[in-house]
Amino acid sequence: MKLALKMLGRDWRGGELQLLFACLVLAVATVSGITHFSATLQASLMQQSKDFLAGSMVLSSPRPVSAEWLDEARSRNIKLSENVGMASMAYANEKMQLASLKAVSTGYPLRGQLRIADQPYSAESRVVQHGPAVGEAWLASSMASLLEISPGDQIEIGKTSLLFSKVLVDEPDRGFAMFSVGPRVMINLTDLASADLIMPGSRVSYRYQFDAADADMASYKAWLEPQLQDSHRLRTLDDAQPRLAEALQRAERFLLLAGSLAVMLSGLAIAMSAQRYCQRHFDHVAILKTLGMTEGRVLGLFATSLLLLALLASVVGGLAGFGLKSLFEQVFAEYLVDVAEVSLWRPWLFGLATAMVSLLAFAWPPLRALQKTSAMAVLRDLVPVDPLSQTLRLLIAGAGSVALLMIYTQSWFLSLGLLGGLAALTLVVGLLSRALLSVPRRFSRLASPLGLAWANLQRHRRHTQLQLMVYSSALMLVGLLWAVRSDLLDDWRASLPENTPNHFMVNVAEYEVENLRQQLTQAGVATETIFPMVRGRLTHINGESVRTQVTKEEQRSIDRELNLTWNDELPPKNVVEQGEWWRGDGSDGVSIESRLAERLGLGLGDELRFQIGADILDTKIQSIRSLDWQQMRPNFYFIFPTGVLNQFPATYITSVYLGAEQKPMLTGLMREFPTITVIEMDVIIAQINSTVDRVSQAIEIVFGLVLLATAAVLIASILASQRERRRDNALLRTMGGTSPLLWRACGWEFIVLGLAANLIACFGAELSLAAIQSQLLGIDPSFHPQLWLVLPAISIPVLVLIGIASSRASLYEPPVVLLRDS
Amino acid sequence: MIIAKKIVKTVTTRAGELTILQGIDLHIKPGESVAIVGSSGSGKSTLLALLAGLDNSTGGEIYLGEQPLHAMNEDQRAILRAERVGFVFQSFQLLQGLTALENIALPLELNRVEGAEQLAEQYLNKVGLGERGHHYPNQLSGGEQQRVAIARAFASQPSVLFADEPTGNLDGETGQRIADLLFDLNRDEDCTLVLVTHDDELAARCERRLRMQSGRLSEEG
Repeated sequence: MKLALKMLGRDWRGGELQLLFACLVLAVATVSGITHFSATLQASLMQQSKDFLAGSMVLSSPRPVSAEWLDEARSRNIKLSENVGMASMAYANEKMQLASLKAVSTGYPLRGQLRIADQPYSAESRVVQHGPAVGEAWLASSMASLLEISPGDQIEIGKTSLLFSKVLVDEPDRGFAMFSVGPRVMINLTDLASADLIMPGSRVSYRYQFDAADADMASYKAWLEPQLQDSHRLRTLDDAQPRLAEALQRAERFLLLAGSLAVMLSGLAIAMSAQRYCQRHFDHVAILKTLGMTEGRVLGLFATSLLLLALLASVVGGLAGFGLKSLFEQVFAEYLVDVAEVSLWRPWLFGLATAMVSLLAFAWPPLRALQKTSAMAVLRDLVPVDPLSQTLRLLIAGAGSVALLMIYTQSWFLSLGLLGGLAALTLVVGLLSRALLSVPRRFSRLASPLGLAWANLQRHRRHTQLQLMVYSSALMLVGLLWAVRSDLLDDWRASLPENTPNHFMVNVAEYEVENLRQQLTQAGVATETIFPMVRGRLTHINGESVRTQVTKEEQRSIDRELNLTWNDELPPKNVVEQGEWWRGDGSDGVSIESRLAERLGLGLGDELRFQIGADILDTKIQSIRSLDWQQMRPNFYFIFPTGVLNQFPATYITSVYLGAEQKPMLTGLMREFPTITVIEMDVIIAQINSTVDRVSQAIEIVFGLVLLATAAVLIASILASQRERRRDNALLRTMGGTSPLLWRACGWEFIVLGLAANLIACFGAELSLAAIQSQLLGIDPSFHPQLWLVLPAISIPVLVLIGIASSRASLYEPPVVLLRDS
Repeated sequence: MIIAKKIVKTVTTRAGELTILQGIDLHIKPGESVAIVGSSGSGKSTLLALLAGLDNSTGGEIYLGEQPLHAMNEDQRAILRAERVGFVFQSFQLLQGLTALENIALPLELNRVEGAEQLAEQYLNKVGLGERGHHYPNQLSGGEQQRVAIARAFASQPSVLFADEPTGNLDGETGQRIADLLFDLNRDEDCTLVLVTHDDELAARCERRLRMQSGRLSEEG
């Protein structure tokens, strides 16, 4: 151990170990940092899902549920809250308004928070962990406007009078109820009884939130489920992922994938630097053997030395990983909630395991060769015979790589898939680089910078192939992610450009349409199309009742009043996939949204019957239309031609963009149009934009890791051939090669490598992008000319800079070393 | 013509400053062949490196022809070497990535000589390896590699050829043949030859023999 420590210190001072150490630290930091962050994100998402439900599990019912069920929950120490939702009239100021009433018990919300403000449409709000106190009511801004009341006024609900104390801005379990009957009024459950609103036949929804440790929740769920009836609906965390969580989970998966590449590249750099370390110790070992050291002791000495290095790297890498995790947490700060239970040790142990597996798989084979060095090497310049066959070395490296990926991704599928992908890439790049390197170098003068560079690349054929493989795979990934990110961002920005509508106005009466349009125009607000909306129910498909035609699951989505509209023009972002848009000859049918048509198994010409009020409307499908649901505009499943729905009572809907400075005008507008309901989407849009930005930042951090790992491989591969490079450059100098010639030759070498790697990377990225665009994103494959310009423009100078910096020592080699070599 | 005046070379070691050459004076006439002999560590290779402009002296003046090597930087010396100097090393020092023919053509191209490849072929024929031009160094024997190195050294038609233990890595018979080749070509090309060797037989073939001892140079017989 003492000897190993001494050797470690000496090698460190001699500059033999820094690169190996840096690669180990990088691998450990990547694994521990990303797994740590991933665990935090998972825990946080779980917590947020609970917030989204306002508990761990929610039971909904049209009637109060059996008291026994609730008692059972209490007896299991499960926290419980209750709320009742219904439509009710609210009175104030001699005005009345239909409200979406929600009465909440003490304890609500069990998870998540309510957001309240002191004034309607105020930009300032705060979060609280409780509902209104007894005797108080919290009103949505639009409700306060409609009733023309301010906080401090009284509001009457049923038989009780309550104090309007706060403006309700947001609630955790609001969901996405765009077309609820009216603006929200939240009261205490105790006041619901005194309001005396619930009568036989009232449409009331009872919701019970439960919260406990996962195991307790699972056992209660198992107890409860067999007793549920059709009218009951139990929602758990599995079906409560907020839409944002999807984006965050995708980001996390991406971090894992891109991080895997960083880990693999670090592994490769470890293998190369360990190989170099061992090669440089062959003479040392030969001398030790002539002095009587056994093979076992040689192995022990070097293994202990490297083990100590790995331990040190684990500590430093663990700390760096913690820093990395903190960096991610800062980026995602607004999406993370406090989670205490994420272990600090687990990620670090993963990191330690990474270091150990890396050493075992990548450093052990060269160490074995070192151990077998013959003492004869002191007498003759013998190349040690590797005791392990090439196949065995490949197998060990392959097994090590899978083990590394398993530690990191915890998924066989991902690990083997990644390794398979890399193996395929290696093969393709190997073939391509072989073809490239066989191009004769007579196209350029031998003593020109390019000629020398080419000769050097051909000479270090194996290194060149390896470098090409590493750069092209790293560049391909970087290019791929950059392009996907650009595609997605462009897609988002196209659907959510500047001034995207951020407020919906619904329940606009027909006689108000023109007036509203005028008012908005006067206020400088651009108006989108104002769509008419008729509520109707789809009852029959091809003469058969819907109930017999579609699955029970689908019934739930259409067995309700649907919003039907009419329009002469195809709305923006709608594309007719099948059939044709209106002919205008009076024979036109209906246009249906493509995903709904697919779910219901509908095709062109199918006959549909709608019930609108007491009337029946028969039509047939004339076109199937796809649309972009992400856009913040009114979207419709069914669009009719003008004239078909006109006789039915319609309300109108539109969406507008209101800047922060325009928002206060809503108060006046709501007074003038009291029946209009305004749905504020600005917060959600801001949140979506911010999420996209955050995910982009996270991608950039991981890019950084991948690039660091690529740089490590680049440096390792240059150092591996350093000795030959030094000798060659000294020789060139002896024969009259000047410094500018050598520098330029070195630069050209990396330019050629960079160009070839970029060519392969861009080509590979375009192919993969075409697949991703058509298969995953559902958009037409497109060519990315920017990729072919930006990727080489950035990567080649970086490659040349790192390459020249790492080769610097060999460029200054004085020619006199050739005599010393002799 | 090579003129060295009071050359001093010192290096700094952990133990302190070490003087390798202690004020060497030397005059070599054009076309002369000179052998520098001496024991290991006596400083003969260091002197060769300084005379050839491969290294800088600590003090003194060195002229190669009219050119003051001591006043030149590394790149200026490199250009001078390309024009006027040829080398043969003990361990051949061929570029492994280039063929035999390319190794010979390289210094010609560095010196921007027209028809470098044809000239390289001529010299390859002269050293008897006309058929091996497209072989890489690792496909050639030690003796063959040294022949290529000699062809490379003479191809640029240098005014001075420096050879450092040119037969040191070869067996006796091959060494003898390489020495013959070296002296034959030297005679044909009429260039100055400065060689460092342990081999008395080789040294005896030179017109002058200089002995290096503890950093000082003396003329022999």
